Parts: sequence; structure tokens; C-alpha cells
Amino acid sequence: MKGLWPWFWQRATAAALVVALFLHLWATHFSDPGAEIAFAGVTVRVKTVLYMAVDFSLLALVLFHGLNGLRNVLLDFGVRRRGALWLTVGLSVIGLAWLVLGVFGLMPFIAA
Amino acid sequence: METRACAGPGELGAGGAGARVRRVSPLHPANAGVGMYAFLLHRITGLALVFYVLLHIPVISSAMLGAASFDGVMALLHTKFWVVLDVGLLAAVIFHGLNGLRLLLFDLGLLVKQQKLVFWIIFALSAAGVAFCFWIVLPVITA
Repeated sequence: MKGLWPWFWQRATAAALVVALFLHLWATHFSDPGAEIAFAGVTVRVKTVLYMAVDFSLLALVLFHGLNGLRNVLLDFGVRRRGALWLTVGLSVIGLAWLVLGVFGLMPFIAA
Repeated sequence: METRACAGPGELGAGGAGARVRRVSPLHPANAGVGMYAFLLHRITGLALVFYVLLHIPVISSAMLGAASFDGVMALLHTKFWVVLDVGLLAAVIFHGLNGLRLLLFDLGLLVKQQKLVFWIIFALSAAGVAFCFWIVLPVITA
């Protein structure tokens, strides 16, 4: 991994993801196994402050952790200099675009 | 994958100028230890999970097209094929998460000398977690 801060944030988001992802998976699939997931039910969950916080945090955490992890793999395969710069720019653009999509994607549940 | 000069088993015997040296991948079972497999599994599951997340966000965002669209997508994903894939996804999440905690321990300087034991512990925990998930989805798979 290249650089102190990417390493630090990869570890910090990892620790936070373990907690947030556990809550997310528990709420969506394990608290009531067998229940089919539908808009009406998801709305009730996402409107609670805890799960709103969990889901929005997850969105930001997972996009950073995943795309930074992908960056680490590609740097290990020998991407350097200008290639590494464009890689960072490209992955940042993808991350921001998916962050916006995810925020807008959760809005119908909150607004419903 | 990078290769390195490596004396295979039984090739160090007499030594000296005559010693034969083979070039072998670090992934060759004679060279790769538990740590190498942990590293590989972490990367492969990591890449799979990024791919999943980049699909998961647009899928959930189908709610922007209306509740009926979202419910249609969820009904499709609640079928046998996708639920079996979900168990694979959970396997990747559980292993990647637990192995990530293992790496976090090593970065803090803890249990580094016991890294192989720690790997087998998280591997066993992963297997137990996947078995539990499989048991949870069994009604859908056998339906």
C-alpha cells in the first residue's frame, strides 16, 4: 500500500465497516429470516435514525474502502506515476458518482 | 505473478557452484505458506466485494423508479439462484471481514508470531458463519 494516509483510512474504515455491516446485514436478513424484502418494510426500517445513520455511513465507508482497495491491487500490478494519478482521479469520480446515486436511491424510502 | 529464484526441496544438499536453482512461483505449494493463501483469498474476496457493491447500490436505487420497481427486483432476487449466490457473497464478506481483523491485529503488533494459528481460527469461524447462513436460507433453497 502506498502512503501513510491511504493505509490509515483503509484500516479505520475497515474497523467501522465490521460494525456497520454487521448491523446492516442483521437488520436486512437475519432479524426476521424468511421475510421477503419489500418497499413498505424497508421504509419502516430506513426511517429509524439508527438505520438511516448506519446505511448512509455504510455508503461512504464501503465506497472508500472498496475503491481504495481496488487502487491498492492495481498499484501492486505496476501502475505508476501518471497512470497512478489518473487511477486515483478515476476511482474518486466513480466513488462520488456512486455516493450520489446511493443517497438519491435511499431518499424514496425516507420520503415515503 | 512475480517469480523468484528458489531452491526446491532436496536441492540444497551438496551446495556449492553445482547447486541447481529453479525459478518457481511463490504460489507453488512448495513455497506458499498459509500467509500467502490468506493474502490471495483476501484480495480475491475484496475484488468480488467491490464488484458486488458497485452493483448493489444501483439495484437498491431502483426505488427511485417507484415502489413497484423495487419490489419487482427484490422478488427476483428472492429466488433460489440468487439466494445461493447470496450465501457466496456472505462467505466472501465473513472471510474478508475476519481476515481484515487479523491484519488489523498484525498492524498493531499483536500475535504476529501466531499468524498461522490466527488464520486457522478465522478460517474455522468463517466456515461456521457460512454454515449458519446456509441453514438460514435452507427453506428458500429447498422450496
